[in-house]
Amino acid sequence: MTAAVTAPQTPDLAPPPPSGAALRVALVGNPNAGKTALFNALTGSRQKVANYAGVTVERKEGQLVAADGRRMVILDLPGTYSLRARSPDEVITRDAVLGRLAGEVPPDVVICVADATNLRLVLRLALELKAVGRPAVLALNMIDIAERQGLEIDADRLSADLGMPVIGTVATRRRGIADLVSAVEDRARDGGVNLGEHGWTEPSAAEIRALHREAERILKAAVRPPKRPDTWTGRLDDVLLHPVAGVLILLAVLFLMFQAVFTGAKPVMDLITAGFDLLSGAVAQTLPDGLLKSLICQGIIAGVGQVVVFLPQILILFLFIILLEDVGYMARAAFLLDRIMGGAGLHGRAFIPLLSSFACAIPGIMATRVIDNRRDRLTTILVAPLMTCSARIPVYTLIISAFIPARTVLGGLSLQGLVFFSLYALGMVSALAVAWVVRKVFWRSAAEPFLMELPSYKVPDPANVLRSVALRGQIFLQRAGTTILSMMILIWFLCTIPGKPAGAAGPAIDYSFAGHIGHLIEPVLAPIGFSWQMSVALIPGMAAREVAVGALGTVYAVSGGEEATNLLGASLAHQWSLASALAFLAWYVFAPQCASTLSVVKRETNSWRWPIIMFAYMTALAYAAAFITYRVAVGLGAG
Amino acid sequence: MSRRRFSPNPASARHCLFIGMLLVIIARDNFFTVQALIHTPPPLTDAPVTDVSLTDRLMSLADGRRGLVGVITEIGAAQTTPGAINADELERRLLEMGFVEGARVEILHEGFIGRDPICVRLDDMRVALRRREARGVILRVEQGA
Repeated sequence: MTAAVTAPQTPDLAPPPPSGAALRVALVGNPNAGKTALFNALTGSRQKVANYAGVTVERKEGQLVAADGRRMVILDLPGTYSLRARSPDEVITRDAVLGRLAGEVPPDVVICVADATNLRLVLRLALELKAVGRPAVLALNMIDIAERQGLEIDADRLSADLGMPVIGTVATRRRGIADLVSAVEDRARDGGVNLGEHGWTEPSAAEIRALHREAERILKAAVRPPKRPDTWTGRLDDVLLHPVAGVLILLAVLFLMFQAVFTGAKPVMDLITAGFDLLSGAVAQTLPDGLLKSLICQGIIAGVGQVVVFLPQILILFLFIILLEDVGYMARAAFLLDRIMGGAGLHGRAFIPLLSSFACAIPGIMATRVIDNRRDRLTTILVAPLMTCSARIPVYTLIISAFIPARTVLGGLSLQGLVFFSLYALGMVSALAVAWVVRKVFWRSAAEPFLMELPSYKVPDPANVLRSVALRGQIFLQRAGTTILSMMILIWFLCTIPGKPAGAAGPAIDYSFAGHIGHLIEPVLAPIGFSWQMSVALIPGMAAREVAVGALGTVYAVSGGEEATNLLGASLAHQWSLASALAFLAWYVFAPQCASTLSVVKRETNSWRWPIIMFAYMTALAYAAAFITYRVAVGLGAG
Repeated sequence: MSRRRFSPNPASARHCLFIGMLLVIIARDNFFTVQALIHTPPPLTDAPVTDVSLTDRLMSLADGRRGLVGVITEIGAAQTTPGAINADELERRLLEMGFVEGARVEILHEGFIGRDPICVRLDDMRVALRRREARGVILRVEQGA
């Protein structure tokens, strides 16, 4: 580490010991000010992402070594308009700046990141920071756009009025970064009159007005309005927010995104699945038969495959989300969708996670981070798995083709297709209904106001977009992947141990823990028409919904791969009543039959509480739906 | 008994969902437009912009239509509406977003369902908000209604 090298121009600093003496810098700024881009420019790839203790807020930290060898730790704090925190994210920003965040070293210097073309609100934030007394530097980011617009900013005047150095930067081109770093070092040396926590109280409305007037005065004195203001944003908004054209464009964008996630990821996912099957087969040939072989092939390799297979969908979805965010369209989409989603008590931005959940709930749940408000986000997470994901299709296909006659009804409509479509619709309607109930019954406190800045449109920076997308993939593999893998191995364990005694009849799974559990829960599932074989198949089916098809094949001892589906269907048609089959379909609309989803919910909410709640309510719904379906069907003579 | 193998086309199901959603949107949109046509008085197109009766009028931003231009004279006197956050908190949030006395506001766009939410130009920024939250923003009308 270069930390031991202390440059001659910093004589007042003792050579820092290898750790602990790094300068701690926090980035604070309005949303859309290019804070993340500046963070990337400062720290490059030396970043790590975690969660703040006990909350779901993401903690991004990076490292930087200044020209003189001084080490800096940069903390990227959530965007905010004021230190008067209104959300858990903003509480983190406030407490970090005030130095009262448990487990965090208070920052030595705060960099206030401003969009140089939109200074009004950030100047008030800078004044709030000044009042706290922590040494601060104002970074006028995107100064190139301001120059292009002919916006004249008197940096000296601004600096004098705010009492902090002002540095123009262009994060995406690394312009001004060195100046910013040396300004931060100078500030750290000067120190500040740090009032910290005791010098700060939440401002009243009158104080906000006073601060705003002061910011307004500074703005008038130091900034001359642009000679060539951005007219593109207005022209684009005329189309993109148009009641008809805007909605059509939005639907087209969402449709394109959905197609890309659903269809575009498919070949890569098939390739990954095939690759892991190949690997598993190759390993199987080198190992002797036995438990170890089963653990490695069916437990570990299949488990890792189960994690990696989600990656293409996650990367494609986040590519879209980050592009839409960076361009500035995401806020417009929320504007257009606010009323539709608001009817069900959801935020306008909940549309994107819910739409993605039609492909798979895992990228969908990860995408809920576009929603800032915690309760809106949790509601969306809770209902996302009710959207019919692609993993349900093989199960629906199997049962529908085995039990629903292939005839047309109501003048040309295929009955099978109709059943299939109603399962989709049932999922969607119940998701909206559950969201409504959560909002009305459990969270009866006031609805969050919808009050949001619509940023100017910007051309996204490819490097930043790719870095953000890669970061999402990395977070998924590191954080959610480990939980998914351990769940997969647990399920393997349940389905394999204890093994089948020599010479015993029937499939091996009957003798395993899963078999025992299946028999144990059979009395509970009997009222909804499930046989013990169906109950047993539910345990391996927790690995992923489509695994239930293979699991049914195992318990009914129908061997063979894809081609055996017809055989399995015929076998099921003999053994199940129509009522049981319909109850099984109803069960699959609601049941939390996916350990990976629960793992991702755990990761995204940073607690086991929410996956447990999700498991409980979805199981209850599934049981109720299957019960009603079964009883009605039996009553109509389908038993 | 022979059963034809059922191979659902997930794409067609998705298309149906999209078209259905679009139809719902269009139906609701038109419903509100028709309703608005029936209930709103004829537009004041003949009145010159400089008409004293217009320029001196105070109104809530929540009641404005697209094209309304005004200067904020007061924030936050509105009583708390049911289901909304309390008036003091809303006032501070509006202030923090730049809705302060003296700021110039223009309604640029209206949502396609019930003309809600609205997008306004606020000095040199653009802000989206629901009419419910705009209730407490009082303007001196300069143009439009």
